[in-house]
Amino acid sequence: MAYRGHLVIDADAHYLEPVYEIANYMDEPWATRVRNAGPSRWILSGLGDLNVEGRITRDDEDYSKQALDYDGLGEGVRKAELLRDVMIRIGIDAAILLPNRMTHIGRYSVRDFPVELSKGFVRYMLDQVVSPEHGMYTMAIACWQDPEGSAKLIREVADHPGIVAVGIMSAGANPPLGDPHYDPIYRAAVDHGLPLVVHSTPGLNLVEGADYASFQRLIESHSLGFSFSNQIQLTSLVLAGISERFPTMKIVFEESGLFWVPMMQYRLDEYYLKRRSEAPLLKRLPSEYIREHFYFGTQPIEAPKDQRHLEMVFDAANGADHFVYCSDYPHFDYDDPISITRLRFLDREDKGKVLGGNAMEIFNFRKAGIQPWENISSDDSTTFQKSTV
Amino acid sequence: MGEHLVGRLDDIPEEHGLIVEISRRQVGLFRRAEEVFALQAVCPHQAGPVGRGGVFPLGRAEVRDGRLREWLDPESLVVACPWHGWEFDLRTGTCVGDPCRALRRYESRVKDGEVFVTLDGGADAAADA
Repeated sequence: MAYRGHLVIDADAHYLEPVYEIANYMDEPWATRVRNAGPSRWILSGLGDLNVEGRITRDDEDYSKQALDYDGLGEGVRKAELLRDVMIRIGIDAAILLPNRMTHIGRYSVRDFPVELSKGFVRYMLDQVVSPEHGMYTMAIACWQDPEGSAKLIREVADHPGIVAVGIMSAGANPPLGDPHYDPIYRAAVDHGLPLVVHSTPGLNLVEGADYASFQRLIESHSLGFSFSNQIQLTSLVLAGISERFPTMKIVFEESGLFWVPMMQYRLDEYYLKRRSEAPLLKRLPSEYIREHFYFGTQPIEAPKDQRHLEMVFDAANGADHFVYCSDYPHFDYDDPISITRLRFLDREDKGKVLGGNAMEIFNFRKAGIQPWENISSDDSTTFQKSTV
Repeated sequence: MGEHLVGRLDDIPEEHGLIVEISRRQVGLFRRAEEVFALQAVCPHQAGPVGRGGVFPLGRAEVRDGRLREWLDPESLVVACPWHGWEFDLRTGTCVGDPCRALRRYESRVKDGEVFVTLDGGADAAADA
């Protein structure tokens, strides 16, 4: 496969999890509780009109057809065989699959349900979907509501060759994720050589319950919400000294684009120098920890007309080595690999690192040895024709 | 280059564009009643198939008496790229959200139910623009 000769690893694709089936993989009493009530009684449904009144109508993901009854979660990536077709169409060699509606998991106040849902998801994925041979991987989703239960789940599945990370959703955590309260999650990840993925989730929501911002349109809540919730967690993790407590842990932030990163680097530096006594575990500037220990998914990549602005972001955050391509497929604001290959300030080697090389360094793909998808033949890379029309 | 017969008017749907290939160039045909508009088929954003995108009335708004009043203007139509929703003026190809970006527009005419498009020598707006 490959895209223009590059190995492409998608560090953030979403699998439309079938919640009725996932319930079969939960422990009791939650399995019965979810099945008998119907998943819509337990799973938050959505953010609003993501297809912009019918404008976005991709063949394999028509949001306008999405049912909210959880019997059908819309057209798209909800079956392993469909997923492979989408990967081929986009040019993805390996994808790390996260859930879809379960990204709201951080907003639950019920303490014991989220980890049961995670348990059902990861067991279902390993049983029904994940296939390292075909480049389909997933992660164990940890829940802030139950660090000990999450750590137990991580240890249950961490050695499976299809598990390449520990994930956690960024919205909702109280206290934020830098608190030592969550160390059981981080210790389990480090013990098994897994990076921590902090995946952005709305934090601000237009449809399901008012939040304090009270935005009036999805363009507002979506633009800020997916950045804002990651900003909270980056602030907490860096200033609470996560990289001193777990110096070998790599932390990947996803689905907030890139321009927020240098803003956070230098804002945290500014306040660290003025209030160092409140971040006593740190031995260096926050921006230096970010450049060394933190990684960032590219999607939704900002596309300034003057690419020098984006080049400065890459420079500030060590992007050639620390940014990883993410599609976020099948969501409405997904990014195609062309979003990376068109960056004129990156040479061919650096494009390859962002598209796949960096992910190979961060995620543990080789527990079962070298996989067939890693072998990009010259025939594959030259004959692959991207479908644009 | 020059003028090309690309098909019959009746074969072009009204709800969305139809992509045809003319001299190895992808062109999106959009029909409104007896009129046809021809635009570059590949979106300058991420190379999506804007040439088969839907046609929508332009959303407009004004503030009146302290409230936002919105309406859809059927006299100003836009083509929306089906991949990410970028909007382009149906008649000019200009990007509604950023007028310095545009789809290339081609001259087109309908005669006796047949559609003709004229290619010129210029290049389409590239996806890496």
